Amino acid sequence: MNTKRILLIEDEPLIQRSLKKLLEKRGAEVTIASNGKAALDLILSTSFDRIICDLMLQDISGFDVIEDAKKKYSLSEISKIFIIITAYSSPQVLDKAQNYGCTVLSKPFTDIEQALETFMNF
Amino acid sequence: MENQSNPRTQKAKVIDNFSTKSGEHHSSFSKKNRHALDKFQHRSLPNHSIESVFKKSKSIKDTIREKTPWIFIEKQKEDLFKVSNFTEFTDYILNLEDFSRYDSCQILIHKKGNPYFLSFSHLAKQLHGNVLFDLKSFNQIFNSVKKSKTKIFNQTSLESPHLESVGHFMAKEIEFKNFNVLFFLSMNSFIPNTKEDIEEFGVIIDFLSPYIQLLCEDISQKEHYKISKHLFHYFPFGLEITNNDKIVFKNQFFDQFNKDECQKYSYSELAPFTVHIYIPSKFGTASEVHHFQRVALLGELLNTLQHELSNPLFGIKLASDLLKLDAPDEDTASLLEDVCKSAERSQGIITTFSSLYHDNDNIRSVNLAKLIEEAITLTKSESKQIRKITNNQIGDDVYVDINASYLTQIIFNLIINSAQAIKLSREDYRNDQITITIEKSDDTHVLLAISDTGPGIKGESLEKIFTPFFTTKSTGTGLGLSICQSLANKMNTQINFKNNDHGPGVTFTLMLPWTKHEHKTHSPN
Repeated sequence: MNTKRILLIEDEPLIQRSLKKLLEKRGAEVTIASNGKAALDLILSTSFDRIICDLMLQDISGFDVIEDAKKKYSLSEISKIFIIITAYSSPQVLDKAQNYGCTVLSKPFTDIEQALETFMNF
Repeated sequence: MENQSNPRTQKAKVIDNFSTKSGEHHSSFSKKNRHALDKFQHRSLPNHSIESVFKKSKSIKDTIREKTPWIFIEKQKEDLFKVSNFTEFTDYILNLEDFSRYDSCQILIHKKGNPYFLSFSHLAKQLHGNVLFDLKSFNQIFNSVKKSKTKIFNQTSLESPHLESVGHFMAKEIEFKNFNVLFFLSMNSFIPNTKEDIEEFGVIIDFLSPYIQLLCEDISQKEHYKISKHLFHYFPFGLEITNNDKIVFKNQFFDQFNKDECQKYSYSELAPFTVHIYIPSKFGTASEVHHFQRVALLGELLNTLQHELSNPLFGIKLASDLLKLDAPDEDTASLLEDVCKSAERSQGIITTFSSLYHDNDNIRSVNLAKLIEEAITLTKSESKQIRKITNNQIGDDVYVDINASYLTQIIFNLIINSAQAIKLSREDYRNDQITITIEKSDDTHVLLAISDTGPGIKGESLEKIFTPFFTTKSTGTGLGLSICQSLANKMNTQINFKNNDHGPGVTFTLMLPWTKHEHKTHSPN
């Protein structure tokens, strides 16, 4: 099996590094983007099997990133590739995420193992 | 011998009585006159100051009656007591026998701080009352009169569109604590007044000054009354004023409010009158509005805080969890475990805090012991040094049907209140404690009691403790308990309190409906 490439878009350094390590332990290759702009550059230039995207980024919203990713991916691809992680899981956010067909995980994860499994389920 | 019919002698008697006790005799007018004027240089009224007269303003007429054994023959005195406003007063002055040769009188009154002054004039049998806004003119006139030595003027020496006298006239200024008053008397002739005229005028006005002040106060009270009545009338809720249950005033909105749907507030500060205000219950009281504004702001702050703190806290948890796995020894592992737990606990607190402000109007079955524990956690910073004991007589699994957010706020407020009361009453509170008791009240209710060892509730506080804005603390808003009571009412219960029978302090109690299912399971043995 090929090594899976994961892009982690997250601005909190401790979460970035911890999740990176946890995912790497499970055999993934993890790239980190700390803001939306950097994430978009990476998305358009590189191919990823999974994109874990935080919604509250310093520059643009995670939804903006997904919207721009449409340039490269079809809607059905987006729904498979993107997983949204957010501390703001309001009904509005869930609705919007559903429009893209994306999975949403609320931060903090109640069960980290389960979260990791979701991330690694390609 | 003095002759009563001789005006000069009569005048002399006036002055005499100002300076000496009635009955004493002075032989020459000029001596008496000088004596009187000497006195007047020092005070406006002999033997008693205006202040002392007004300390007993209710008996002002009696005071004047007692202290006027002078010029005014009995009839004139009685007439004075009939005078109830300045228009009548000008009339009265001109009708005095001593002033019969004058035919115009004007009084200007300025209440300090007001942007206008009042003018009352009696000119050639015509009476006028005016409100004038030309305060600059008033001040100019007042200063001119004050500086003038002779107090005698004519139209050129004291010119103002507001003065109605013709020819020569006499003026006199009086300064009261709250009022400046100017008095003008004129014969409307071109013959100047004599020095004696002005002396006589000054003496009489000075003597009348307590009465003038009384009239000034009366005018300003009438003004107040006018304004108050206006405010009451346009107060945007139902308002009525009763005197011994008899309605004396209703405002324009009174009949538009259905009294059954209104909260009634009664204020008896204006005894014997009681003011009743009817505010629709659903509108909410001022304190509630204030409270909800505060809560709304707090809610927003908490949302931001929750997000800003959740992320780093989660990071700390994730990182310490991860590091724990690679820990070189057990000591490091346990330390990292503690870091992880602290992060989780902090996360828990911030989540509890935010959820407090989200589930409104939501009555559900809640674990009471757990809720109390959370509420105590929230009070920690305010009541840190005071011991808190939970005395649960039913068991940890007691559930009540309440609004968790409201009940947490009530418990929070009551604990904070108790802690503050204890802290204010003494410096060493190591022996003090706040006890939270849960016990069975009856088959369907749980009794929650919060008891402290503080100073208890005394005096007027007993009645006013739940009144909005009532506080005994210098920095209190007086809203805490009133909000608690209103939140309790929203859950169809109420807060009661009683000073402790044994020992100091007070106990607040609250009946809570026991969740049926749990009640069966956990009915006390």
